[in-house]
Amino acid sequence: MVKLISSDGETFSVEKDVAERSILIKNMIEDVGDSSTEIPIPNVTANVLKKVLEWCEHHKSDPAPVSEDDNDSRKKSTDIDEWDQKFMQVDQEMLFEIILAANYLDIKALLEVGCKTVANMIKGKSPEEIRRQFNIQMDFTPEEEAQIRRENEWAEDR
Amino acid sequence: MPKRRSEALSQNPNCSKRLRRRDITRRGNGSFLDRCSDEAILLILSHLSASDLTVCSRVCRKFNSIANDSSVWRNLFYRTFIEPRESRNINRLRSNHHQASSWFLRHTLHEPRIDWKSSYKLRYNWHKGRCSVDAIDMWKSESTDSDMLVNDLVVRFRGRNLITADSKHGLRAWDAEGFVIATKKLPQYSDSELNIRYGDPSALYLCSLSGAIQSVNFTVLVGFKNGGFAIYTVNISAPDILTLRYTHPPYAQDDPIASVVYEYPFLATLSKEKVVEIFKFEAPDHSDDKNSTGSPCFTTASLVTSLKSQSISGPISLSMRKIANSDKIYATIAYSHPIITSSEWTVAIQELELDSRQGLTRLRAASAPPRSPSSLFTSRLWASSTDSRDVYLQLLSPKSPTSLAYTHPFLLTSHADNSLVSYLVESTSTKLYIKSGERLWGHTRSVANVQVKARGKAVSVSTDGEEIRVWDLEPLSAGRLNQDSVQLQIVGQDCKKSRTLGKYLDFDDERVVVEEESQAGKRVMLYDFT
Repeated sequence: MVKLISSDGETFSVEKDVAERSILIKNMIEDVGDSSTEIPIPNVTANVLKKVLEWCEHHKSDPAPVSEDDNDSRKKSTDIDEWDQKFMQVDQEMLFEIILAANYLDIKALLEVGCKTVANMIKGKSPEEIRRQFNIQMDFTPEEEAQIRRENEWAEDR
Repeated sequence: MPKRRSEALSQNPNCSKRLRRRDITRRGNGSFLDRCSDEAILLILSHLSASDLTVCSRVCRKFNSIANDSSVWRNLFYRTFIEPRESRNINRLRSNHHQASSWFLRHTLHEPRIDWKSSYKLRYNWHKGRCSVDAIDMWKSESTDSDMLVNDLVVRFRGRNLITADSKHGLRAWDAEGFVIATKKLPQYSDSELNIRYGDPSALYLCSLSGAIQSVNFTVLVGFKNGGFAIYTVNISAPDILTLRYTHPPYAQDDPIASVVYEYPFLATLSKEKVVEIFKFEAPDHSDDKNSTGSPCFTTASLVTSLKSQSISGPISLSMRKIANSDKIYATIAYSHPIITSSEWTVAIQELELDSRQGLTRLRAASAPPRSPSSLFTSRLWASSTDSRDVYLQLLSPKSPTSLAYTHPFLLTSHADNSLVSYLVESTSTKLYIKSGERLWGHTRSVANVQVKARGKAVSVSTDGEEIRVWDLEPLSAGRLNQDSVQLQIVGQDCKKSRTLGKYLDFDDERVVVEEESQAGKRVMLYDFT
């Protein structure tokens, strides 16, 4: 068992192979050489870490992440498996926290699922709908907006 | 914890989007996306299509800069255009060799200078057949003065420039806007006794220079009606844009050059009387004028060989290609001829192997096998809907092809029966072979002209010039040919056509150029895919 401590001080005891879904934790355990040490995770709060570990638990028996160069074989479609889809049915804040945590903890597959989920929220929407969806401020001048619209017209038919 | 989490959510059943958003803004974080690193957003956007990406550009400044990131477009380019093709090829070849070469391609293309979004757009527009069109008038007749008629104007284009040659204006270079940027008189041979109008051009050929002259954009070869030819170089940034480098006197009088091609040190001409002549430029003598900007690689040209055909009546194409990593250059004459025993036409090629030291080293020929009636019924377009007897008659195409184009290994002919026929040429050290042709359907009118380039991109145009199709020919497994094609769609305003089609059709990565002519003048249509 590995002990992880969230940024807000909560301790989580998890199996080693669950924790090692995170390349960051895996490397730390290797560096320390002793899996009984407590490992602080300063960038992730307890509620997010809990969620991330839930994902790791479910995916602990997945084949180990392949080398860095798996970009090519990686399926680029935005298909997400059913369990992951359910798992990602969280509010936007949690979704982004998960993405940030997956990035920090270096869990490629989870980062992928998170990004695909957000990509699916963008797909097929208009710029205005995307702004509303993610609460983004429009910061173009009318001239800039018109110009960018012109530059990007070519791809508009789907 | 997951339980607690869902309890927290259920405790607040009114947790609508709006409430949550107010919650966020209260924290002063603005959007969640503001807290995301650019890299994370890049990852998110890398899952999107081109149309979604261009929409993202219009969301806000941050999105705009990330959605234009070259790496996103590079990946999209590979996913859309390279990988489907590669995987088909891998299925075909199933060899480690090919995987190694695809790896090589992937890694050599990682040049930071490539604008991948523009590359994607260009490829996408070709794929969709979307382009804008522009017309450039090469000359307009000045009403009554029939002497002013320019009937020998020849046009070629390269990149953003057009080159024209005619007996009235001489050699001219044009920019993309249709302005003449340079004019040069064509050489006049001093042979007045024979009463030949010297300096009348009949053929033009543009190529990048494979000789030794620096700071030159490209080379222009002009063939003349009297059988001679001249070589010019073009340097757009120099004060003297066009420079005459070489003139060659005619061998046979009154036999106009129909086409001229060049691959240093060899030059080949094809005349109207079906005489093919191969010339070789001698290696430059480095001892003298090294400082001169003259023509170090265009010293005298000596005749290597001369071939003549008595019987060919169909279209002929003359081309040259260099074999990588060797001194070998192949000059290929591709032509069509009728089969004596039937009313069918077929194609044949004659290949001259040239060596820069030894001259002509080998000459060989191959002819496409005539298609047997059983293989004539393979066209899916006709087989189901039409009486098979009609199909047979249609495919016999008793008339000569309207044009012929050859860029190794693709050999295409266009026909008056709305079709093209595509052949694949196999040329190895031991054999020269033409695989039997495959008919390509898509046009709804008689096809006047076809042109094919490397990697199997072809463009064909109908007799009335109204219908232009772009073909993506790719050899598939079992000798079949992928034959996707798309008809050109003009974006923006259309130029009205009231003229007949000229002989010239060509294209490069960005544009298709079609020549049109009438009593009132001659112009070229520029179809731009950028």
